[in-house]
Amino acid sequence: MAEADIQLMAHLMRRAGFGATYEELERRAAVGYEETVEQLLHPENEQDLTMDVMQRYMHGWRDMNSIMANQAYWTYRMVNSSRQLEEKLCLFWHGIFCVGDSKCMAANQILVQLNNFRKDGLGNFENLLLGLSRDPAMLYYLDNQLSHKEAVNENWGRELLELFSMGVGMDGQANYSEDDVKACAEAFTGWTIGNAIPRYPYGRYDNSFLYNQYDHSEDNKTFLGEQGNFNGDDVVKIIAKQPSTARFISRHLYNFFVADEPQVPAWQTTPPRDPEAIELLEKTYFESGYEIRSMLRVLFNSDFFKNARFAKVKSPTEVVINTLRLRGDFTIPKPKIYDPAMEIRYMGQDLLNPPTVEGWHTGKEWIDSGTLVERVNYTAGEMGDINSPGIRSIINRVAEQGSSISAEQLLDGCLEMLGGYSLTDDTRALLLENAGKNGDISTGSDEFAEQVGETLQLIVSTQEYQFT
Amino acid sequence: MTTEYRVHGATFRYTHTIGRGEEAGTGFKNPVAVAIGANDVMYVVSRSYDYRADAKRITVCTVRDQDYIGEIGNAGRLGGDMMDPGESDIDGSLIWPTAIDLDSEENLYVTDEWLNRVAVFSSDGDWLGSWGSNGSGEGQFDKPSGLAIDSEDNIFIVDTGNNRIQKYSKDGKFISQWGEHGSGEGQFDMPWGITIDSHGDIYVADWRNDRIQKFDSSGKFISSLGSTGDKEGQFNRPTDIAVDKDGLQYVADWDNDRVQIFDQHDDLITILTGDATLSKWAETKLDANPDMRLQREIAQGLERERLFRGPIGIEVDDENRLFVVDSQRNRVQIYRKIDPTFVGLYDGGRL
Repeated sequence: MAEADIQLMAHLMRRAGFGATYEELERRAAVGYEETVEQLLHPENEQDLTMDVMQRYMHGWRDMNSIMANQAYWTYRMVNSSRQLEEKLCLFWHGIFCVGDSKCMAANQILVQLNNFRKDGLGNFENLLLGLSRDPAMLYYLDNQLSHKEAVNENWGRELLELFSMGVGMDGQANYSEDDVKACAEAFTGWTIGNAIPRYPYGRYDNSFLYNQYDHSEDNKTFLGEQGNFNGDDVVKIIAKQPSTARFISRHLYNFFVADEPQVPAWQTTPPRDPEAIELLEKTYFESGYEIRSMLRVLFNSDFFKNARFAKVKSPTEVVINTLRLRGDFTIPKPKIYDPAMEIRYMGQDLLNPPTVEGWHTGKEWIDSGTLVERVNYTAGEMGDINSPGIRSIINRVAEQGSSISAEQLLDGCLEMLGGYSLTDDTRALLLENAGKNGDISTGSDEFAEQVGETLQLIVSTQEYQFT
Repeated sequence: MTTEYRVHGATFRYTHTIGRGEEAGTGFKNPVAVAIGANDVMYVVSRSYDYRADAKRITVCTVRDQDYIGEIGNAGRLGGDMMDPGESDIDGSLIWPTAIDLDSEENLYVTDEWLNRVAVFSSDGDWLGSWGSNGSGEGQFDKPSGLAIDSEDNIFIVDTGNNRIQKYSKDGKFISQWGEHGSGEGQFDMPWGITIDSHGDIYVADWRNDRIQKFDSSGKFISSLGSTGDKEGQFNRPTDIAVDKDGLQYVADWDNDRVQIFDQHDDLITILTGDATLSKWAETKLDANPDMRLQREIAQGLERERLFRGPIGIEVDDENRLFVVDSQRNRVQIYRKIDPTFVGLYDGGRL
């Protein structure tokens, strides 16, 4: 099998999933690139994870009654689910449609939202947005239960337009006015939640969406140039057909799956990095009837995607989950199963608890002197564990090159096993010097496993490895 | 309001609930098992979560008056960090406590699925020792879960990962074993709860086979009850079973959120789905926090609070009291079987 095919597959799996072992890359490359894209786009054809054993041992997972339980559950899913794009897209929507546990304090309710992302995240955007509008965690997070027809709270209405669908502007123009925000918020009056069963004394219960027609404004409204006695679902319908919505979603998809864009607040005045790519995605948005699956099919099969290798800084979640997938031992219940989510938090991405409704700033903003040290310490520590099954497999594969291999073979073998990383000349020279410090390398020696482990540790400590 | 289930001449009356969600003191955190001792004392094992290791404990209280007596176990103090479950097998630690039973002297035997051992405490909480290690040999365990002690103080332990039942003397000496992985008679798939009836027959909740298997005291297969599903008489991962002195069988049907009661002939009598009311400890909490009581007054769907959520451990005592450990709700719901003095018309009960 051509190494180029495997490297392309590694790129796809890093972006559409959380990376893959070399063995998985070989299997998928044998199936073919386009067919693999189709498999990823149809997670419903893959067996979902069976959770009974995990729930048996992780007693907090049955009801997800704390953020730590839900975080651990999610990291477990991201590592082990064969529905890799489903989980990656769940992370994508979570980063846009933000709710935070710091306010909601109901991880079980946020789980309900994430499950809706899993279910609807590849489907029709209008439907996804409508579901979000009825999501109890979101309604509470953005105060819509406090929005009444005689006292409208604009929080949800404003963020729906600004952060969840259209964005403040594009091509130097504003996408909507303050009057549109007011009309939007007014249309959603009466969209509220039930009075929850309180947490004490027996624990948390799911809440539910309620539509209170007596608290809904029946006034005539003008929204984005259209007039009528609009309700929330009318507003969502109008939003979905806006060119700005197509632009906004296309740029988000590009930023998350292809290459780092400027931060979202700059999008009104900063043109897309690749206008032709965005135009193609916008066109697909409308031609497919707002279907995310169709947009991603075009995206993953495009040259602009295939040529964008290592054009993104890995998010903390990608760093940790990719590492765990390569190690291959984050599969069974254990007391320390909560630790990876903590690592992700320490690197700057507290899952289920984004810093604001704007979500996390991505790209180079993931990196500072503190988080970089966290990344390097974590990945080097995990990848140097030569007893983990995944690292052991890498050692065996590198050893297959012969009984005696050169420093180049050791380094290139490790780079290949990690998914085709390439290094700058300076970095490569340093790593080669270290790999060859003892002359030729005997793959049958007692030290060989340690040599591979050390080489892997050095690779994951490089600047180059911070990109995906 | 008294809730009763009158079926086939038996009456199951809900009496009260004990507990509330607490990491320490008057409450439980993800309770997993219960044992009833002398003088109306109840021992409840809180499994808690590994990020709240300080809440792993055995709470001692009384049943009728719901008086808090104390706590046993020291998991949370392992590393001086409540977030750190520790992995040490130091004396008294509980990492994944799962089941509890009492010997004739009311010493407490607690299985620990992570430490692969049986921990022994006196009823006063003194550490008496432990036995077991990880493995598949005699005297070794792979996630020991259910535990039951017979009238002669023999200890039967469900060795989940090894899909077998092991019999020990009370001082931890291996006596015998039976079982292997599979779905046939005498085979298991991750078994969990275990109990012994008044004849010495042994019942095992064959968790992943969704059935109860009955054996004689030597481990010879007698019968099997149940199949996979959510219909009457079916189970979805049954975790535990209790058998009363009349031979009625009570099954904690964990993932169906219910308790099913069968007669001696394996015929279904009735199904309990939960009747919880506010416990004494819950009332105390609400009295101290009027805002919580106000929240309850305006809450919608409060009737859901009555229901079981993951009933996980089940026990009957000599007074025909049924104790259902309601794991996700941090409480124990208690019923009493009332023997009829006159059998009236069958009223259909409540299925």
